[in-house]
Amino acid sequence: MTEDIEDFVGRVRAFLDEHASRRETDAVGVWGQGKDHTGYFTDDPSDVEKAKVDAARAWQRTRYENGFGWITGPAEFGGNGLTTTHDLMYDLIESEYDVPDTGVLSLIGLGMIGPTILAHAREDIKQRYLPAMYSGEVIACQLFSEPAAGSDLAGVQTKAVRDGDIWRVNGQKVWTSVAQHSQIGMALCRTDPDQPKHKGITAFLVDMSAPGVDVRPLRQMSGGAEFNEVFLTDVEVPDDHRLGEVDGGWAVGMTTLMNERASVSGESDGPVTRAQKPEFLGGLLRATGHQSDAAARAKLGALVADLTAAKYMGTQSLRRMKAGSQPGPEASVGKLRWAQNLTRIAHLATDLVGPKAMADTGEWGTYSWNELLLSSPAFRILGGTEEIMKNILGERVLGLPKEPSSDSRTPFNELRRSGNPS
Amino acid sequence: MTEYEEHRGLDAQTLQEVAASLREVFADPATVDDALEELGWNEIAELDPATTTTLLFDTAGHTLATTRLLDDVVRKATGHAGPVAYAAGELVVALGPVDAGADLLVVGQECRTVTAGAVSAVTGFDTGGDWHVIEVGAGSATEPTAGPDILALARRALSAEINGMCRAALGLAAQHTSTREQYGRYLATFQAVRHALAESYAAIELSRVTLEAAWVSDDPVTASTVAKHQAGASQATVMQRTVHVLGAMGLTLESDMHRYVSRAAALDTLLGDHNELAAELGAMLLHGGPADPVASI
Amino acid sequence: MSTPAISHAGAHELDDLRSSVRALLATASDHEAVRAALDTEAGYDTALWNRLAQELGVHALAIPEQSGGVGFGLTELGVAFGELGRAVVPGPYFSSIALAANALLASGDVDAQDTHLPGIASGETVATLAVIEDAGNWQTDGFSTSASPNGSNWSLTGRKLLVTDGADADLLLVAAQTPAGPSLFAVTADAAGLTRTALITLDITRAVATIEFDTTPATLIGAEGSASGILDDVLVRATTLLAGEQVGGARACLELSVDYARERVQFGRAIGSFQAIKHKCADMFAAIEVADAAAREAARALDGFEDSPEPAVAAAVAHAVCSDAFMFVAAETIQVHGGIGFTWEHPAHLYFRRAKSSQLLFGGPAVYHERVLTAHGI
Repeated sequence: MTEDIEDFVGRVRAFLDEHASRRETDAVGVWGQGKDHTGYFTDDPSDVEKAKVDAARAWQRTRYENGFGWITGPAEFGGNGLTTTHDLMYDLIESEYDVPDTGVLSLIGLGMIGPTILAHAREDIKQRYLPAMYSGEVIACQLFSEPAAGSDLAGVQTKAVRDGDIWRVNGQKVWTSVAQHSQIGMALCRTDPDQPKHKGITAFLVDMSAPGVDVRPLRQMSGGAEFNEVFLTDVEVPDDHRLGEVDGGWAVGMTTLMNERASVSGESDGPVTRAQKPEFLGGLLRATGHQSDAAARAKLGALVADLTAAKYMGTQSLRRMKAGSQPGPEASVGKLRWAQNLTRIAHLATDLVGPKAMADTGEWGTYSWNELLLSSPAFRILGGTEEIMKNILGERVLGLPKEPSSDSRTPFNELRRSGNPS
Repeated sequence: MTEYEEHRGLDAQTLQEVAASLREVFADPATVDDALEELGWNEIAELDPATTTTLLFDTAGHTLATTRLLDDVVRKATGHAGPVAYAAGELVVALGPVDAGADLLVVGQECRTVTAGAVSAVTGFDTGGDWHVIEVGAGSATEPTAGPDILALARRALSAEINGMCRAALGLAAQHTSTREQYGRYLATFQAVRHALAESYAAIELSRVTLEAAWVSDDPVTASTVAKHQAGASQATVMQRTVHVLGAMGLTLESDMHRYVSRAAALDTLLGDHNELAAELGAMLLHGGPADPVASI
Repeated sequence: MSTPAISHAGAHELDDLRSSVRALLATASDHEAVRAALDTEAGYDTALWNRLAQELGVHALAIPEQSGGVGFGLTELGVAFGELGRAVVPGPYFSSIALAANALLASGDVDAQDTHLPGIASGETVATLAVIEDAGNWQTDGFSTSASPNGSNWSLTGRKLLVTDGADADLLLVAAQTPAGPSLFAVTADAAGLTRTALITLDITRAVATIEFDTTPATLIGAEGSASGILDDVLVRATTLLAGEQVGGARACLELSVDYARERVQFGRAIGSFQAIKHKCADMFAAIEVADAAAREAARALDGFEDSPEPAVAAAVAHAVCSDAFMFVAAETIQVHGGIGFTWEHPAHLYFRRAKSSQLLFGGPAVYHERVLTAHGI
């Protein structure tokens, strides 16, 4: 028996009305008003960043204490036992309110690692971490990618060697978001190099404060450092922190990745959301004197059409989910298009601005487009490259044959591998 | 021999030696001017201005050297003794510091000598450069002091520098994808990657030949506009693709890739970015300008 | 102008509609049958036209009940057009059902509707709409074709340059200029002073004609001077139906491509295993998914569903996105097929021609991208 959606919505609104105020939407997204940031990645100084994380934790705690910390989770760990639809509805309604952005906790930790722990960890570990995560106390990060294992995640080389009741872990992880704020990390490690690559991996929960864990920020070309390298040197991980079976870690990792869900955004005031609004882009067209420029209008018209159609696709997906259907391939198509559309916006905007985009003259809405421009290459790479996404669409949705594989049956030890780049 | 090779004042062997010497010159960016003087650059350049200018700026671009060689070229061609600056849209931009109050030659649609106003270093997109923005009062405009051929010359030099940067970016991308492995094979064995590299190569080749043709054209002013437009358009194509195949590595500050991206974009904006020049060429065609200034059919 | 309330089919009914049209077309109008139909005098399969009208009621779908129709909306009719597009069926379907019927509905002229809609709904009347003149653009005012009063009727003089199915239509709805402004008129095929010349077309599945009027008798439809509003309405509704047809065509192309990519072997493996081909197919798939969403959302908006975008915006977006997508997919389909896709015998070029013509029907990319901006107030 699951709660009626209308009743749930009523409860959610009552909670939010009591603990938060509505977001001011008037001045948001209007050309010329507010700050002219366009970046997807922020470049906050560390004290500002820490304050934001603390506020996120506090809000998550409030949600948890009022029964909205883990909407789909089982009651025994503080969850509500409701459906994905309820979860999406909550997100949609919450976006109307001015509350701290809990993305630092939820995008990876609560959205992906929490469900993995639920599915694969021992009971005592679930008890130890799940309530703590969903109440904002514990932040989790994902220790998956390595310098030599990017798109080919199964190529991980970080080793875990058993020594009695503990495992000793040595290696290097990269592109780890929120590592600097995390208390635990879910790591995929090589435990049997004599097996083919997918078969010799084990998943562990690593205590990020354990000796040997060294987190270093990765500087990205857009200027900020939202990602990290994590060096693991003789880190001791107790066996009770293993997730799933020994050498069964690939399946555990798949659970994690399958839980990746694009968050539903309503009217948020994030810079990237604003940059995709037709009205905002219209303001840019006027401000740069291209109002009557036929070539610019044609490009903008095509772009606005694609942005709006992608939005419709999202709306229809939501409608279908509310009606109980399974999600289709819209999510992959959506991600593909999102990345391409933002790239087009970034280039069109800087083209319209012209030379003022080259140097910061202080004029509103000119140089600031570089934030989006310099972030844009990442959209088609991070979270799954465009090429991999197209492989997935081609193979799993359209049924096209895979490329002949030369490495999925060979023992990992015998594979030709890249070394760590200097 | 191609039509262009016939025009060369230096034979292939000598050119190879010159290219090698230039690579040595630019090996140390701090001593480029002295090294060029030691090499006897002025004498060499006189033997074949077209090929040597292209080689010089291509090497500068390839090594991301921050120099004021373009100023030297403009001064030599105009006889102007003071500092030089360049129109970038509404801005007037110099490659290094300029004294306020100096006699400044501004290269643009019309080349004029003006009195430099306030000068400010810019925290720009290209952090490796030494860009400065100069205020030029409306009242200080004078009669044009140099013809459109100077603008054309500067555009050709900039095109060569942009092309050099694109070559370097492609080199970096090719090297990365030929050594990085995923799924048990080098990235460069995947078609999607190969095709991105091939498209970049084609774009660079297109720029290169367009520039070569601009040096020998009967209408160098228009042809140089075409060359600068092409270099700018190609850099947009090349940088997008090469950054992409570098994957996440290319997104870091540690990688050199972002330096090529930003400087190529910055140079694109000097003396007309590729969009402005497309509009300029379009307007020229609509008013009955020559349809084929680059190739004679 | 008010439209009568429309019925909405449920999801199952829509599926049934889709599969019944698809099944009929699969047996009666495969690619071979399409070629054969193109070679007939009519240029299309008239028996199929009648079967679709009478057995499946396609023509009547979005015509109100009181005018001889079934009273559904663009969502339902869009499904039918999707199937027609998928099978690239030749014939005056778009002219009669999407253009002429919508013009009559938009005019608000009950007498005209009573006179003409039942014939269109039953398939008995082939009708079309004549707008484009020598300038070659879709326009809604300033027509050179003029109408002068002639007793209780009117007479038309002028020339319409590009009229889909103009040479063989039974009924011509013509936009002409009167002193009061642009107005809509009905002209029957047997009218005096009418010269119709069929043109050679890019899309060999859609006939186009030039029509000259020399004091041709005509009947006014709707109020004098009201044609601009009628034509704006027609544009929005017809492009939405066109969008459904374009998506159907694109899907057929993708199926052809994927099937070929799985079968064709080169360099020791199926060509679909090469990234270049695989990614092309993925790109086509992505374009179709987005286009389909846009087409359905526009139909929804025009059918008056709550929680829909503004109809003018959705229609403009659908027209732009579906036109671009179908053209992209049709072109890439030929690429996937390599040399064989370039032959006359292969169906790919039928879709390519349909895609390009459809893209240009109401002005083309510059025009429809501009309409997207205008609809958004930019």
